[in-house]
Order: sequence, then C-alpha cells, then structure tokens
Amino acid sequence: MQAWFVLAVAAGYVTTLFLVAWWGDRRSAGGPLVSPKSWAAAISYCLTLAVYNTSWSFYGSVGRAATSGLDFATIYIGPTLVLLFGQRLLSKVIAIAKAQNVTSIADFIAARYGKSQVLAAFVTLASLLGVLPYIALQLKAVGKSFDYLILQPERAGGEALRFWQDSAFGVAASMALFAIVFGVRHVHASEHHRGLMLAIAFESVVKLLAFLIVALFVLFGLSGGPATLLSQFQSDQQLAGILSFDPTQPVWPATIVISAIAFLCLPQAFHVAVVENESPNHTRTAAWLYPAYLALFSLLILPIAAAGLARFGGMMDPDTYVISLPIAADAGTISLIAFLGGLSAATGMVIMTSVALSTMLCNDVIMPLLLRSRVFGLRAQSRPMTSVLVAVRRLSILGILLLAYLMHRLVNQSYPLTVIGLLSFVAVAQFGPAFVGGLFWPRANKAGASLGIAAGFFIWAYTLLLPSAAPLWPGIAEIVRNGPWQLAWLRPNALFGLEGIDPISHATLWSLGANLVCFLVVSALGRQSTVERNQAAAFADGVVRETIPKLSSRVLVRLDDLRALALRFVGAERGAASFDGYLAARIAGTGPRLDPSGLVDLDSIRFTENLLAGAIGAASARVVIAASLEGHSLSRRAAMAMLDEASEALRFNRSLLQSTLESVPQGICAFDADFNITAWNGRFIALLDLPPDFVRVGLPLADLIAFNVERGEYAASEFAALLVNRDVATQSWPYLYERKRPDGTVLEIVYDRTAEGGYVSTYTDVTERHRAAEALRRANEGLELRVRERTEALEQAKAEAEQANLGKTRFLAAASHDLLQPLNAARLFLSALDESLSAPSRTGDADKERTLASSAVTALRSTEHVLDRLLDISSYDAGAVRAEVFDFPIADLFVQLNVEFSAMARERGLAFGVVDCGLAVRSDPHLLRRILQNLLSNALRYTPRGRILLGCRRRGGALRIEVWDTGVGIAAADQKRIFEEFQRLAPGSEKGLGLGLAIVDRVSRLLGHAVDVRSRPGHGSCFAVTVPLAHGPGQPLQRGPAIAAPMAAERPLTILCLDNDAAILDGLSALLGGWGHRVLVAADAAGAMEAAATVEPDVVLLDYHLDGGRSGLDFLDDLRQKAGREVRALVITGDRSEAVRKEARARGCEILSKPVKPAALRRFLGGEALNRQLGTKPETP
Amino acid sequence: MRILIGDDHPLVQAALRSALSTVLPDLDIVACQSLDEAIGILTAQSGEIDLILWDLTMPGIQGFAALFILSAQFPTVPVAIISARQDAATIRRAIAYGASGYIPKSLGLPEMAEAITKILAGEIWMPPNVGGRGSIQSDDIELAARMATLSAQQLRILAMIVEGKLNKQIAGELDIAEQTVKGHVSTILRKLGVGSRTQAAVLAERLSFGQPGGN
Repeated sequence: MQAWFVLAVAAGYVTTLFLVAWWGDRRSAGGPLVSPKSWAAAISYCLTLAVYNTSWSFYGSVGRAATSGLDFATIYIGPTLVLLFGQRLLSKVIAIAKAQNVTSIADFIAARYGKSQVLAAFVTLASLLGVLPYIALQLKAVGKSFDYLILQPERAGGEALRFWQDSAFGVAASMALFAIVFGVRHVHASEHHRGLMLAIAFESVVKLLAFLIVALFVLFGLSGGPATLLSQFQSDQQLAGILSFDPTQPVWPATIVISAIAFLCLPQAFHVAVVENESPNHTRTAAWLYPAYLALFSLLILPIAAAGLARFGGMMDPDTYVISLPIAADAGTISLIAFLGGLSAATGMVIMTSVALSTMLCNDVIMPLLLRSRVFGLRAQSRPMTSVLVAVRRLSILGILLLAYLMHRLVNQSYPLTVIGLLSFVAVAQFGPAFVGGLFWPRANKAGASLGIAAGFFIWAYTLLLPSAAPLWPGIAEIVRNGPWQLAWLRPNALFGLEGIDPISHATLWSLGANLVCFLVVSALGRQSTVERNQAAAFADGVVRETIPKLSSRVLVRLDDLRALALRFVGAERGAASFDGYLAARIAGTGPRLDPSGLVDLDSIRFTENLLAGAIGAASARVVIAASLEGHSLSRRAAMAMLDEASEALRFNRSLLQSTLESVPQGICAFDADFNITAWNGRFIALLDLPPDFVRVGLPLADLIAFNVERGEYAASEFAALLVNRDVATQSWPYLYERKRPDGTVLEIVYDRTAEGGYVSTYTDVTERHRAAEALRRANEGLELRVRERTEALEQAKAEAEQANLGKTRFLAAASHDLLQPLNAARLFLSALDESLSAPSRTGDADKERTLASSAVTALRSTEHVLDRLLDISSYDAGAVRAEVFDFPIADLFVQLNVEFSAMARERGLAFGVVDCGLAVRSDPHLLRRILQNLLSNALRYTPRGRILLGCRRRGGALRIEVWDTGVGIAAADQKRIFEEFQRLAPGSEKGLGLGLAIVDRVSRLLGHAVDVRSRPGHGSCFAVTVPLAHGPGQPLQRGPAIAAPMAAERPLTILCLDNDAAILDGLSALLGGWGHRVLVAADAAGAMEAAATVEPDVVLLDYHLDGGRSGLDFLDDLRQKAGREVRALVITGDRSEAVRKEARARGCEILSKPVKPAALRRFLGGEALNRQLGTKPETP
Repeated sequence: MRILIGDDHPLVQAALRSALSTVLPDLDIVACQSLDEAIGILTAQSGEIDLILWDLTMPGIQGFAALFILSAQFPTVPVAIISARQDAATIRRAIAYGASGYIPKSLGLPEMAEAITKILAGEIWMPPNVGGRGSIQSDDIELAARMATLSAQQLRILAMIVEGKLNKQIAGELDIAEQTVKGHVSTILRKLGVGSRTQAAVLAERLSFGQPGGN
C-alpha cells in the first residue's frame, strides 16, 4: 500500500476524530451533551473507560495469547474484578474526588495525604516515568503497523533510523498536535473535556469494530469458521498452547493485582473513570457493560492468535498478527481497517494520557516552580494565569511525547508489547497501597505513602527499568548480570535469590512488597498533621465535612494578602498579633508546613476566615475570603466599603450604648466572665471618686478593689461583701448590698449576671434615703421618749387628781355632816311649830311659836352660812376670785377690824388690843381682811379668857401681821392639820365650822402671802401672815360699807330734758343730778335747740306733746339733722296711744309712760352709758 | 307694782313670792322660768313690769348673757340680780354690766324689801360690805362689746353653742330652720371675732362667772 494513502487515511481518521471532538465541545458548551441520566451517557462513559484497551489490547494481547496462552486475559480480569466487586470503592473514590475537586491521580493522592504539594509533584513525576513506557509502546505499535502496511517491515525493526524516518516519530508528533489542539484548548475550572470524551468514546467504538472485523475475517475468511478453529485447537499442539491456562503461575495473581490497580491509577484511566464521571450511576452500568466489552475483545483475540500461529508459526512477531494476517491474505481493506483500529486504540490512549499528565505536570510541578521565582510570582497576583497555564500544558504535552519517543528509541526494542505495558503497570501499581490504603485506613499518613511509593518505585526501576536499559550501557548490563558490586543477591532479575519467575512478577512482588511494608510501618509509627487527619477522615467517610473555598488554579493568593486582609478587618494590633502568632505556630511545626513560596493553603485560608468571622461574621468572612481568592467581584474598594459600613454600624451602636449609659442616674459598670471591666459610665467614676484615667477596658476587678483598699475605701467589715470574695457559683442573683463610703455617702450596689456570662453592677446613691430613715428613727425615738414622759406626767397628774378626788369626797362627807345637823334642827323646830299651830291655841303659845320659828330660821341661817363658806372655798379653788393688789395703809384695815371685833371681844370678856402701825402694804385689802377676820374669829373662839392682840412686825421687806391669843393653843402635831377643812379643835367655847383656816389657807395662797402658826398648848397661839411692804404711802381705803348708790357709769352723761311742764323738769333735774348726770332743761324746742347748741347732749328726754302743737319727736328730727348724728332719745309721755308708740319706735326711741319710774329711767340711762363705754350701738333685735 | 321674777327653782319662786308679798304691799309678782318665757311676758306686758328679778343660774342662758339680752330688748326695764352667789367679784361685775342691783338670796327679808324699794326708787343697790368699784376687766370690755352686738336670738344660740348643741338641735329647740341657725352662727362667729364654735363657747364662758367645779 502506498504510504501516502495510508497517511491520508490516517489523517482523515484523525480529522474525523477532531471533528467529533469539536462538535462535542460545541454542543456541550452550555452543559452536558446528553442528560447524565440517559443510557447514552452511561454507554458513553463505559466507552471512555475502554481507553484502557490500547494497542496493547489490539496487538499485544494477540501476541501474548500466541506465546503464553490465556494469561493475556489477566489484564482484563483485574478491571473486571474492580468493576464487579469494587463498586463501593469506585463510588467512594468518585464522591471524594468530586468533593475535593480532584483533577488527577496526583491530586487525589496528595489530597488524601494532607494536600501535600510535594507528594503531588512526586506522584506526578512517578506517573510520568511509569507511563512513558506505555506511551512508547503505543508509538511502537502504530509505527510498526504502519511499516507493515506500507510493506516495509524491515523499517520497523530497523535501528539507527533518523527520527524523521521513524514512523513512530511521526506518530508522536501528530498525536502531540492532536492532544494540544484538543486537550488543552482552555483551562476549565472543572477540567471536563466533553469533546475529548466524545472522541475517546468514538475511538473505542472504532477499535472494537475494527477488531471485530479483523477477527471475523480471520475466523471465517482464514480459519474457515469456528468449528474448524475449534478442531484445530484440539489437534494442534501449538494452538492448544493458546488455551493453556495455569493460574498457579505467579504471573496470574501478580498481573491481576497490578492491572486492577492500574485500571484506577493510570492517569488516563483515573481521569476518564473518576474525573470525567458525571453520574455515579454510570459506574453501575459500567459494571456489566465494560466487562462485556472486555470479554468480547478477549474472545476475539483467540481466533486471531490461533490463525496467526497456524499461518506464521514462529516466524512472525505475534504482536503483529492482527495486521499481518490481512496483509498476508491480501485483504487490503481489512488491513487498513486493522491499521486504523490500532491507530485509534493508540491515539486514544496517548491523547488522554498526555492531557492528564500535562495537567498534573502543570499544576503540581511546573507552576509551583515558576511561582517560586519572584518575578513570576508577582505577576501571578495581578493577572489571571490562564494563558500561562495553557502554554505550560501544551509545552508539557510536547515534552511528554518527546520523552516517550526517546524512551521508545532507547529502550529495548525486543521487548514484546505486553511486557512493556506490564512494565508501566508495575510502576503505576506503586500508587496502589497509598491509594487504597488511604481510602480505608485513616492512619495512613503522608510519610508512609511517600516512602512506600518511593521504595516501590526504586525497586521497580531497579528490577525492571534497569534491565531494559541494559543494552544502552554496558555497565548496566554488567549490573544486571551479576548484581551491583558483585552482590548476586541484589541482581535486578533475581533479588534475594528469587529466581525462576518472570521479571514482571518478580518486580511486582518486591516492589509492591517493599511499598506495602514501608507504607504500613511508617504510617503506623508516624503521626499525622491536622489537615491529614481531616482528610483521612474525609476520605474514610467518603464525605467531606466542611466546604472549603476551593483553590482555583487561576488565582494564586499569597499569605501576605491574607495577612493584610486580617489587619484591615480585625484591626492592626489584634490582627497582626493573631496572624503572626498563627504563622509562627506553623513555622514552628504545629500544623502543616508553610508553603515556602508564600502562597496560601487551605489551612491559612481557613484560619483567616475564622479570624475575620470574629470581626465581621462568618458569612461576610467567607465572602471576603472567597472574593480575594477568586480575584474578582469584591474589589478592594468594595471590601473597604463593606468594612466601613460595618465599622460605622459598630461605632453607632457603641456611641448609642455609651450615651444611654451616661444618661442613667446610676453608676454602671459591666464586667466579662473573668471580671474584667468591659464598659462603664461617668456616674460610676463620680460615685466611686475614681481617677478618670484609671478605669479602662480590660481592667480586672481585682485591681480596682486593690486600688480602693489602698486609699481606704472599705471598712474592714465590708470585705466579705465584695463580689470578688464571693463564690459566684453559689451566689444568688441579683446580689445587693449597701456600703458607706468614707465621705459619708451611702451606695446601694447591685450585681447581676448577664446573658452572655458577664456581670453588670449598678451603684445608686442612697444617702438621702439613709438620712431620712435616720431622721425618722430618731424622731420615732424622740416621740417614744416624749410619750413616756407624758405618760409619766399623766400618771402623776392622775394620781394627784385621784388624791384630790379622794380629798373632795372626804370633804363632801364632812360637809354633808355639818350641813345636815342644822337642817335636822330646823326641821325639828318647824315640826314642833306645826304641831303647835295645829293644836288648839293656848296662851303663851304665840311666844313659844315665835321662838320655834326664829330657832328654825337660825338653824337654816347657819346652813346657809356653811354653804356660803363652802361656795367661797370652791370659788377660791376654782380660781374665780382675782386679787386686786394695790398699796394701802395697813392702819385703815386695822381700824375696820377693830370696830368689828372689839364689841365681840367685850361680849366674851376678853381684852382686845390693836397695835397701830403706820406702814403701807401691797395687797388686796378685801382678801387680807378676810384672812384677818378668820384669824381673829378663831382667836375669839378658842380663847376662853385672856386677851387677843392684833399687831404687826417689820421683817425685811415684809410686814408680819400677827394675831396673838392666850387661848388653848394647838399641839405641834395638829398645826398642819388645822388648815384642812372641817378641822376643829376639841375644846372650843363655840363650835365653829372648821372652815376658817381653810379659807385663810386658800386666800393666802391666792395672795401669795405666807401664813404660819406658833403655839403652845395651854398658853396660847400666834397666827401670822406675812405681807409685802408697799413702796409708797398707798391709797387709803374707803371706809365702811358700800355707798348704796355708786355711779351708774364711770362717766356721767349730758342729758337734755324737754318738757312743757316745769314741775316735771324740776323733778327730772333733781333725780338725774342726784345720779351724777349733767342736766339741761328746756321747755320748748327752741330753747332745747339753744341748749343743745352750747353743749352736745348725750341723751335727750322728750315729752311728746309740746306747746304749739309740736311734738318732741319733731324737735328730735331737727336736732338730729343739725347734729348730723342719731342722737339717743327717750320719750316720756302720758300718751299711751299706739300711734305715738309707733312714731317713737320709728325713730328708734324708747317710751316711758308718765308718771316716770325712776328705776326704769335709771336703767335706760345706765344702758346708754354702758353702750357708750363699750362703744356699741344697741341693735334692734 | 309688778315684779317679774325669773328663777328656775319653784321653791325659791314660791318662797320669794310669799316672803315679798308680806313686806311689800301692792306687789304683783309674775314668775317665769326661762329667758324666752321672760321675753314673752315682757313683750306682752311691755311697760307694766316695773322690775325684773333675775337669777344668774337660769338654764339656757349663762351668767350675764341674760342681762345683755334683757337690756338690749327692753332698755327701760330695770333688771336686778337675785342670786345665791354673793361673792364680791360677781356682784361688782353684775353692777358693772348694768344690773340695777344685786340681791343675795341669803339676805334677810326686811333688807330684801328695802333693797327692792330702793331699786325702784332709782338706786343701784348692792349688799353692804361689798366695797370698791366694780370695774369691767379690760378684756371683758371688748368681749362685752362684742356680746352687746348680738341680737337676742343670737345670744340664745350662743348659749346653746356653749352647751355643746349642734345646729340641728338648736334649730329644733328654737323652732327655726337649720339654715337660719347656720346663718346666725356665722354671724355670731364674725361678731365675736372667732374662728370656731369652740372659741365662741370659750369666750362666752368668760362672761359666765365660772361653773362650779369648772374652769
């Protein structure tokens, strides 16, 4: 066949593939191509899984089947087992990958082991190295088939070809181009390459179809049908070898294991199976669909292998049977189809692998390296990295394919395809322990994984890679033959003397063994970082507990940015302190290691988010962090505005709180749960008299109290009351107590808990209340005291009153006795008189009757006398008598008394003498006379014979008036008693009432004069009253009884009399004059007017009927008019008519009828005088 | 001559009547037992009563208030006090307040006749041995002045106030409306210059000579 033709066909196929991909991309720009739920999507997914079937399956398996029988199928058994029995594992992996947003196998493993970038890079490089042979194998296969197709088979086996002559190179170049064009057109955030997937699915169909066609051609065209083939199998020894099947061979378990692992861990396989998975249901479909695909493929291998063996025997490379058979049969179309199938199989794998590897290389190896460089790092912050990333990826694809080609050139060409493939499988299988262990063993840690992979890889390289490079360098061949340093047991092909097994199994055993051991031991012994632990838990559970802002590979943020963010939002001081502390901790080793490039990792993001959440809330913090990571929408300005708004709100609330606190009349102080001050108001400072800058936020209460103690604020007794000394757990809230400050103010202090666990205290000045309470208490005490005193006084007064009452009762008893006696006597007398009068009269009866009557009168008179005296005493007691004290000569009194008593004394035959005295005293003469009268009467009564003397003695400023008698005397014991009522001494010539001295006692008390008595029984007595001397001579007393007619008024009146009868006028004049009034007389009105003109009259006495027909009342009218006042008038008339009476009354005048009664007249005048004196006008009633 | 005797004790009335008629010929005695009765009689027989003998201890009106009332209503009828009390102070006061005479009940009969005769002749009679001027105490002047301004009805009401009677009771006794009583009471208080009934009663008491055992 012509080369150009083949190339054209190849190009055409590739173009078709391109178109399919392009169409797929176009169609899926808005969303998935088909609904993930549809069966088309599931089938498409399974078909993409078939990328596992590369040209190894297409060509290599046939070769393997021809050479070693059924063990070709081992590489299909592995995936089948995984799909059939590892559904749980698969779904878990897919779920985790989606949750953690994993983009590659390196990402996945690194994510599990603490998101370690280093591990990712390591895995990436290991995958690259491991997969290079696999890619090289594809190149080899396609190149060889191409060479066979253009009938230049010698080219395929030729060495020292120039690379441009090497078909494999061409293949590599074209595949690189395709991969670049389709795999790395843009960097999606989700790394879905829908177009690419469609192309892969397409080529899976193509390769299956091609194989099917070839197989069918071989079966029916060359072998003559299945029956013939079957008989051939039984007969031909060689053919029977195809079906040989010895599971005990170590190659079986080894290959199954590594193929199972590789099915998931190959970069391209992971990508299509996990990253590109759109629905977990697809795996369930894949569980039966893909094994069916594999089974079909495997089945189709058998006839081709048999036919190849039959046709070519051992001459042809069995790997080429698929294409060489049709060529040998001259079936050009079939061979072309076979070529296309092979091409398709290889293309799919190469493109997919290169895309996956380039992603891994870019993300995990190249970009971090680039960013480490300063220049590039700075640029990375401000501009999106898309173009850079794309460029890097494209370049890396080129690099990968170049390397693959180099490997193809350098590595032993004589290896069968399968072996090359298995080489890769063993390498990739080193991820197995870390991969699977990480899923199910939370203790698996990064060190273990890294070490395990490293160990495994080393042994793989040593046992497999080294020998394959043997032809290149003789030194290596030497080592391979004899072992390093001639240590036979370290021979790469037979480590530790394990011989006789195929290299793959040998390598598998040792590498996986060492891997596992390291992994297990180091993980068991080592410790995990927090992140690793979280990730381990997340992987073990299959769920991720918290959403972490994902790191878009587009924007890279540095730690400095986070720090700046923290400072801005949390405040310079606190933010710096917290962030630096965090960084220090991380540098010191607690926590995952800081990325030396200064880039953030999820831990620092989470920390910053937490820090910000403390200031602006979790939601805002998330937004701010996400915005800063995304690098869009929330510009710095917007963030600043949000911050300012938040601060403004905070400031406003703070000022509102403060102004509220200040307006309250109480002092308030708030504490947090640790008793540090958080807020206070000015009143608090004022009440406690604290220095204003002493109190600050965060000041511990203990400090405040210490300060107060120092300045003597507390009395010793108050310490217990302070809150710091109380057990807050058992305290009942609110806690209230009062404290007196040294300056006297009393504070009422209330402590209470707040909802957030802090405390708030209020201070109220209750000094006034205390003072008022004090005053009240004192007033109460005072009142009680006064009540007590009054009660005592009252009791005393009551006692006295009761005493007096008793006295009065005794007095009354005595008085009654003395009253009854004379009354009885009077009754007796009158009864006798009555008897006498009712009996017939006899001579001498009249005298006797007269005697009886007068005796009765006498007896009654004595009763009157007693009662008089009693009334006297009572009036003195009642205080009704007032003493009118003035100076008068005592001689006047003596004279009166002398007159009074000398006769009585003479009657009794006693001598009575009065000693003259020329002094004047100050006293009431009537009352003094009373005293002396009583004393003298007593003296007379109680002196049977001898003499009585009345005299006086001067004693200082007083005069002692003494009454001496030579009477019976009074015993000393009786001298007090005698002043009481009804006290009489036994022997007395005449019974007195016993009241005299009682009166003397009272009167003397009234006058304030002292009375005393000296006496000697049997010899006589001396009663004396001490009277103060007057300063002047005094006024003489009026002698004798009252003048019978004292003046009616102090002032005499001027009376005008008008009467035409002269006799009456004379009479009136005499009468009125006698009374002391001034009288004016007139016979007529004119005369009266004249008289009135000279002296204004006080009263006018009028006659009604005057001469000349005029009446006295007319004159009165005139007079009143003239005088201008209502002159008082009395009408004296003989006219008793009603008219006159009315007329008089009308003028307010009284009427007296003639003949005038003097008493009436006097009465009238007296009334007028009295009115004048009182200044009153008589009212009409 | 016709004498009106005002004494609440019927024995004394009878005794006086018989005693006086023996010593005074042509004596016509009219008796009354209360001030209202007296006023009634005087009003009916105005001009014909020559002398009133009045006891100071008549019920209803205490002390000298009756004197005031009678003087106010019948200025031309002489009023002499006849009383068991015979202390000089009372006698002097009675005369000072305008009594035409003071006859103690303990006076002998001939002396009593003599006193009445003299009073009717125009003298002011006092018992002997009662000397000195009766002077009206200065505060009594003012009080008496105020009392003098009261009408008879008001004096009556004042006396009842002193007894402690309520307006309703006063109204019932005097047979007038309670409102009228209230009006009189306020006038009394105004004239006496006091603020309450109690003060008015205290002032009025001063004009009485002191209850036995009281003050």
